[in-house]
Amino acid sequence: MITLEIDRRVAVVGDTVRARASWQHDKAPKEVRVELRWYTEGRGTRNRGVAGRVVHRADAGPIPPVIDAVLTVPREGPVTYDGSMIRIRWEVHATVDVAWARDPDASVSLVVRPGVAEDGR
Amino acid sequence: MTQDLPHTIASRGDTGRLTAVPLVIAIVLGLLAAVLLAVPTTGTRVAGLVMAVITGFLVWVWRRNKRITDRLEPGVIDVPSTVFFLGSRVPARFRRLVKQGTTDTVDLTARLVLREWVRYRQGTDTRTASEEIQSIPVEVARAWDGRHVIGEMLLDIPAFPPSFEATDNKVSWELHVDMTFTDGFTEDSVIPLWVVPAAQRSDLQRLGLM
Repeated sequence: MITLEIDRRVAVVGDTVRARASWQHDKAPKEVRVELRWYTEGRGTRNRGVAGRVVHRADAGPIPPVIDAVLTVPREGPVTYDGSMIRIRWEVHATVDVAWARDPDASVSLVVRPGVAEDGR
Repeated sequence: MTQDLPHTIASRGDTGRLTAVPLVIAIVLGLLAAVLLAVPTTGTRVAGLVMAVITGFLVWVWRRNKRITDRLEPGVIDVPSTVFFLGSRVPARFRRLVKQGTTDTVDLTARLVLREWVRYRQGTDTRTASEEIQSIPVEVARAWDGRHVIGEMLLDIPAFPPSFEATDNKVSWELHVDMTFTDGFTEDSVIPLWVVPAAQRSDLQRLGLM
């Protein structure tokens, strides 16, 4: 099982999002991954992108049971969007990759806004 | 308007393709129609007749597009930067070189258009769809210098949304400029605008892109 918490539910492009993933499993995982990612919904084929990722691998040493990740929303976006045919969504997603078992995962959605002009123009 | 507008953005669609595509298809279909009409069975003659009608339509499209490309160069806008920030106000100068005929326009209108484009699978087919989501009129001060149709405008870039482009989903802003000449000839230019979140301004200045 994995639980995921983030420090904010609304972010502006360029902001950092702090996430904490706590996991438990009978087996030692190969990898625990926390990602900040966007995806599209709607009529078009789904497109997705990963903006930031923190990965702990077992081959680099024991994976701590609580993982803190600091992820940055790219300044160029995309931003959360609700259109007619297209919706753009953001989420923080955490996965525990366990060999020969179902990979527990958790997601927390996030709203990304474009921010304001720096010089007010 | 005397602002420094060092960057130029061209309108979408190249004029060569406007004339070449319908002409090539018309030639192929015309030859096919001739072959089918020469075969003495009713079914093939009907098919040949249908193809001949389509060929005629394509020749008309080619003639119309050739008239445009003979007369006008593609439209461009002069702007202070090649990217636009949400919520900003941007001076822009539309220009279109007239090669033949009168340069005098009776009407020049512009609008900012927000468009969505998607590509999706339906069964074994790949389809696309496009939808105009928003249309905002832009005030244009019309002028001409004997060779160019000119339109001076201030673009009020909306506060939302920024442009987005992925493989199968696009959210885009376009500037549509429609012209009507005194002899009744009409033509429009569609100029794509890349609109970004305002937080990028300092990044782009650092990179020398504005």
